[in-house]
Amino acid sequence: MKVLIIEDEIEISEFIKKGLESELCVVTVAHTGELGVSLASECGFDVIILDFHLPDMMGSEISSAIRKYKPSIPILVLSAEKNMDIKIDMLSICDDYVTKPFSLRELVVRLRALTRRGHILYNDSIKVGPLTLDSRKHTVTLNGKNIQLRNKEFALLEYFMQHAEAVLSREMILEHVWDMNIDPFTNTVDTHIRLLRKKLETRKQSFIQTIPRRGYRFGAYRTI
Amino acid sequence: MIPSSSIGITLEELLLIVVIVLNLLIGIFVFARRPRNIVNQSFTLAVIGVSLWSLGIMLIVTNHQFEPFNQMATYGFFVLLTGFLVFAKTFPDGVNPNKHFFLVFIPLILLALTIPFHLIIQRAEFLAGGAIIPIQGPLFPEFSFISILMIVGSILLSIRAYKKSCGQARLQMNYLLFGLSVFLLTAGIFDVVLPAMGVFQLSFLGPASSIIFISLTAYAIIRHELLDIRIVIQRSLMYTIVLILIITVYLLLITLFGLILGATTDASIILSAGTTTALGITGMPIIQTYFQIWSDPIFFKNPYNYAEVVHSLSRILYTSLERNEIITRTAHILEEAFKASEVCFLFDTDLGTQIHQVPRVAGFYTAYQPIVFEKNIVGMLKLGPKKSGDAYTQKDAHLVATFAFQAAIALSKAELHEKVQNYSVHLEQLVTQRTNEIQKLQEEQKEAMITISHNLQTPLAVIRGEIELLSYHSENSGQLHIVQKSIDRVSGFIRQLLRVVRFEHSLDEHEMTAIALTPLLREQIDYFEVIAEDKNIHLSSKIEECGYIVGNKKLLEELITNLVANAMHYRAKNRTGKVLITLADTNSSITLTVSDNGIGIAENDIPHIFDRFYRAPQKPGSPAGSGLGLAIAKQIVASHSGSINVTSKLGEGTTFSIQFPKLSE
Repeated sequence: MKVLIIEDEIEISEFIKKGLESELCVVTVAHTGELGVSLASECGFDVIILDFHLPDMMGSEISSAIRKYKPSIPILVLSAEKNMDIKIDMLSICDDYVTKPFSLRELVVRLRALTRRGHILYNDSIKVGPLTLDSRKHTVTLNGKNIQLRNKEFALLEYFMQHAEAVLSREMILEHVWDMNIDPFTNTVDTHIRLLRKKLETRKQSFIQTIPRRGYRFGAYRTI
Repeated sequence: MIPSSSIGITLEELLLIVVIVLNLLIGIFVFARRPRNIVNQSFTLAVIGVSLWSLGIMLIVTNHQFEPFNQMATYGFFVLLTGFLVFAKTFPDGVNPNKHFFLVFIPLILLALTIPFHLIIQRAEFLAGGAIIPIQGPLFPEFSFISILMIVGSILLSIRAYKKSCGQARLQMNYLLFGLSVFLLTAGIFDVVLPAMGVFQLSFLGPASSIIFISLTAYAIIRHELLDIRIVIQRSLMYTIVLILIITVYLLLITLFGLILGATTDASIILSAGTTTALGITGMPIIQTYFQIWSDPIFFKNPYNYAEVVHSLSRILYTSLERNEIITRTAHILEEAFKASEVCFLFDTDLGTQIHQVPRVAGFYTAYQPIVFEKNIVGMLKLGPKKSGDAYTQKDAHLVATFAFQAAIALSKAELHEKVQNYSVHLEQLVTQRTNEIQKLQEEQKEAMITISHNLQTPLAVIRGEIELLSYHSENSGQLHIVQKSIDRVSGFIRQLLRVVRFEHSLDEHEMTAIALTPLLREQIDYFEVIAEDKNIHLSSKIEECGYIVGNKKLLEELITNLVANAMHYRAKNRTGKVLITLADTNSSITLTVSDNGIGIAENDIPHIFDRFYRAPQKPGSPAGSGLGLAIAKQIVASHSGSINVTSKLGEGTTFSIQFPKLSE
């Protein structure tokens, strides 16, 4: 994955670069908005990481400038405070956002999701093994049989299936499915995953793998 | 000669007697008005003189006897001249003439009294035709000379007084001059010209015409305010005509009845008199009206309807609130009414040296009327000369004075109105200014928040990032993980704190829409049930179908989650946790409650629980919260125009109750 980072703070851009390179990405860093825009328009990148607060240009300006040349390139925004920066129009210029501080792993997952977007996120139904989820009809079928899920269970499953094979941390899950930074009940994610497992998994077929200290990974796993 | 009736007095005698009586009455009346004023005194003296003179002549004529009535007549004449001279000197000021004036007089008077009369006029000859020819005595030329001297003196004094006079006084002088002219004219005609031609019969009309002069002079002195000389002439003419008509009718009727009844008898007289009276009473108003209509255009050049002008002026003054409008429109009306060359208002700096509290209108050619409001001169109305060349009359003065009263109020009102408008414009400007200032302040605060957040979170992000990288290749990844978790906690706290502050200053924009609480709550309970089951808490709910409220979905979800999390967190150790959520629709509001059977809140803690950072005693081992949860909850409730209350008993449980105003259909 070819990544362009437009970030003026060297320390942040450094550790992101290191982190992404350890995940086998090719990373270019631009420290000013202007440089970033020219690089983005001339070279081919798979995804752009943009800090919202740059000294020379506002994140929204940079984004619109880039869009003029490359209208379809995914842009992920780094921001300090979601509620303050993200206004209604902001969501139209970036495709995803991450608030500081963030987990590198999470960042990588999101980047991958953004680049894969075309054929996964906007599909009406997602299929992982014997499990099919229809976002529009709001149905889940396992081996052809309909499964009844609560709202949050469905949302959780949807998120897992959209990021199949990726390691998702509790924080990421909490943020995406419950739109919360902090878990008010301390065990929200765990309890819902347990319920999902009860409904979906059998001795032979499991879907959710626990990765200790890191989170969970979703996939179709047969146990022999 | 007109045949005398059985009463024994001729018509001429009757007329003269009436004139004498009237003159005397007027004289007494004028004297009574101001007994100390020399003007009034001299006038009365002249009147007495005229009366004596007239009486004397009448008696001579009727009794065909020269002595002693000739003396009466002559003395009367002399008294008349004296009185008139003094009057001419003192009118209209009323200032006593200096002693030198009287020094001239007294010898003359003494002279007049001592000279025997027959030296002036020896005797009179009574002719067959009833005329009287006075035969002049040796001193007649001297007498004539003195008389002429006095007359000329009076005339000169009068002319001087007239030239000096202005305004009101001039108007009065006009009356006198008119009266005098008429008197002299008639006296001249009937007592000089006609006798010269041999006609003596009408000589009685000379003294009789004195009534005109006398009454006009009296009028001038008393200064009847409402009437103008022209009106006086008009009215006099009218009444004279009426009188003549009545007499004519009476005579005709007498002749008529005489013919019918045979001879002139008492019956016919009574009948005629009665009929005449009846006709007079009924006919008088009609005659009056028609005469006025016919004579108005003759006497009054450019008449205006007083009432109409007052009405239109009043209307403008009443309705208009703008100074300029008032001034221009009323000036225009006045200009039209008076046919003046110009009418304008003078204010403040224009007034200059023309500041007079007293109006100068009547009798003036250029009039000034001060407009006074509460003893201050607000302005001056200037009326330029009339196009007709006449001076302004009493009627004009009255109109202008009435107008000035109303204008004073209207102008003050307009000024106040302008002031009020200016104040409100100024106020609006201030309000806009303040609003802009407040908005600017809020923007600055927002910027500050963003900067604080950025400056705190960015280093934390760096720390976390580097530690994460370290953990990839480290054996101490467990420890590093703890560090990461701590950093997340700090970051979370910063976020919450800034959030509370921003909420307080209304810096965040939360979209408010119509929210149906029932489905929202049901969805959340779906989520809570999972948690409750895991924690072995019994979660129950009683949700009614409720209407809509105005709110923000995310905020409401956060609020409810907040309270339910608290309820689940602070459960008692020794019993099964129970949490009850209710939603009820009351008349004007929707009530949401979250109650638990947990550890409860101490009575003295209850007032403080919504305070920032307030922490009730913690369960050992539980992660420390930020202490901001309930503060945020309260803010959310407030932003939804709701109210939140808590009831609790320590050791038994707590109930939070929130009231939201319902969105009316």
